[in-house]
Amino acid sequence: MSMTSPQPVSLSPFEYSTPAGAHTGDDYFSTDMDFDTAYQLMTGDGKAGFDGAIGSPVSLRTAEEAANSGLRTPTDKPHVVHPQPSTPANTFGEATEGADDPYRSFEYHRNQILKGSGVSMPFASPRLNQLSTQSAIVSPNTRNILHSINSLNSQNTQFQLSDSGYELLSITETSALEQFLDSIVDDTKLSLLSKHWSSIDPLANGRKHALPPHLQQQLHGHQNFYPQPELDLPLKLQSQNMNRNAVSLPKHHMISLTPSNPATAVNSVLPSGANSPRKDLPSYSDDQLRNHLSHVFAPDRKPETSQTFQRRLPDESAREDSEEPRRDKLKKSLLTSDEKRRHHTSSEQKRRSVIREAYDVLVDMVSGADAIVTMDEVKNPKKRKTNEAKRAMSKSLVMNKAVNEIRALISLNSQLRYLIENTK
Amino acid sequence: MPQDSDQSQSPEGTGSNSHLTAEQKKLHHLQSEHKRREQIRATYDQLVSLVPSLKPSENRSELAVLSKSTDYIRLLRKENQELLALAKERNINIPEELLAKIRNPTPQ
Repeated sequence: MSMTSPQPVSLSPFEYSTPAGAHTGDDYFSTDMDFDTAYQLMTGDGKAGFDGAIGSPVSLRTAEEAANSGLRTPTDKPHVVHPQPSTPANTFGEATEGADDPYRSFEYHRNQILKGSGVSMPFASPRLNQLSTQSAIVSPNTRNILHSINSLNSQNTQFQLSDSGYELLSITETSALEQFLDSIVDDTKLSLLSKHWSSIDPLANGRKHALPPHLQQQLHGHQNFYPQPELDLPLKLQSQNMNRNAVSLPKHHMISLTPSNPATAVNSVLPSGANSPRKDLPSYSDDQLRNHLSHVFAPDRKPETSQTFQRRLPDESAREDSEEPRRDKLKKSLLTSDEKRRHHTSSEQKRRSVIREAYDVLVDMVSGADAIVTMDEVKNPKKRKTNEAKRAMSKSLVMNKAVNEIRALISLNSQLRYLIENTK
Repeated sequence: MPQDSDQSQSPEGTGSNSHLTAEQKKLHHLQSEHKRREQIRATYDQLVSLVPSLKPSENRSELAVLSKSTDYIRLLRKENQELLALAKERNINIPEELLAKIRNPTPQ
């Protein structure tokens, strides 16, 4: 797909399709990008193009971009020049095929370019000029990158770069980028990161709340009518990890990235992801537990959940009211460690309260009128029946009562059954 | 056994602490807390072995143990009612001890 004419509708992430058709389908965040893209970038080796659908979290390609592309300066994408020969470049094996030593070759071309020796770049990012970093829904990192590139391009300066010591990204940005790359490897980190992202990106949040959820859902079905491909970052990545994590994230973890172009004005009213992202990922990882919860609580509080939302905790519907303020809080904050801790604390509290609820049900049951086993009534007759008394009962006492109740019922029932069967 | 568990805690926690140093008290407290947790955990294990829907792997999941046990008790009680109704329907004489609520059963 790389050497052909522009492919406006392909869903490749962060794609640069040029009229010259030099290249399509790379992304800034794929672990494979660093080396392979840079390699292509330098060598013009179009055959190394990826199938953009693979492992491509970020989609930033528009037809306009393609139309406006031209030749670029070598400084266009200096930030991708972080040769990482050790990155798993061969995950998509064909990427480096044909080059005996792509790394060395890459290094050579890189040096050529950095010395300004005029190797033309088969593709680069002048099109990024058209990216309004204000309206595009991109990650903060990406926006920073775009800012840098735009300013570089507008100055039209040829940077004389030495081979070493040139850093486009600040340390913070680099570490953020690394964090992201790490997260690709680690699902759990990824979901955290996606939360983090949507919470620190005001634009992403703003758009997500542009429409009420049900409208967003309706419109989501018609997304194909709009030229901008919208990729759901975590889902996309998740799909790579399918074999590790058989259950895909629910839709509400999506972050959508939309390229900016004239249509953005229209598009900004449209849903970016199907649903607003939930910041309160449940902290438990135990699926059985969750299934069980839904089993237990399903009758009285069946939420609006459809099949898609099966993995949502049922008790979350009960907390829906407290949802909004918390989301607002998260929106403002940049998730400091304090914020994170508070968030963690609150979800832990929720988890506890669910357990507490289950415990209370058991206590009621065990000390209720139906209880077959009534052994502790002798012990403190005055206190029983009141709620405080139930609370005050030691946990092991309650649990033992439950055990005894079950045993008594089992033996009682089996005796009854025996009786019934034998007096037929 | 439940009675045991209750009484064994109090002497340890409050009993002979007048001449104990703060450190000893603390240690004691830790020990009894540990013991308490052990007892609770033991009941969890019992429940896991009793309740059919609880898998052995769930014996550390408090929520699963609690809610599935509750469900199971509910089920058993319902079953009990049905059996009693059935027996009544068939005019089966039910011995007194099966009708009376069981007090202080001795766990096996």
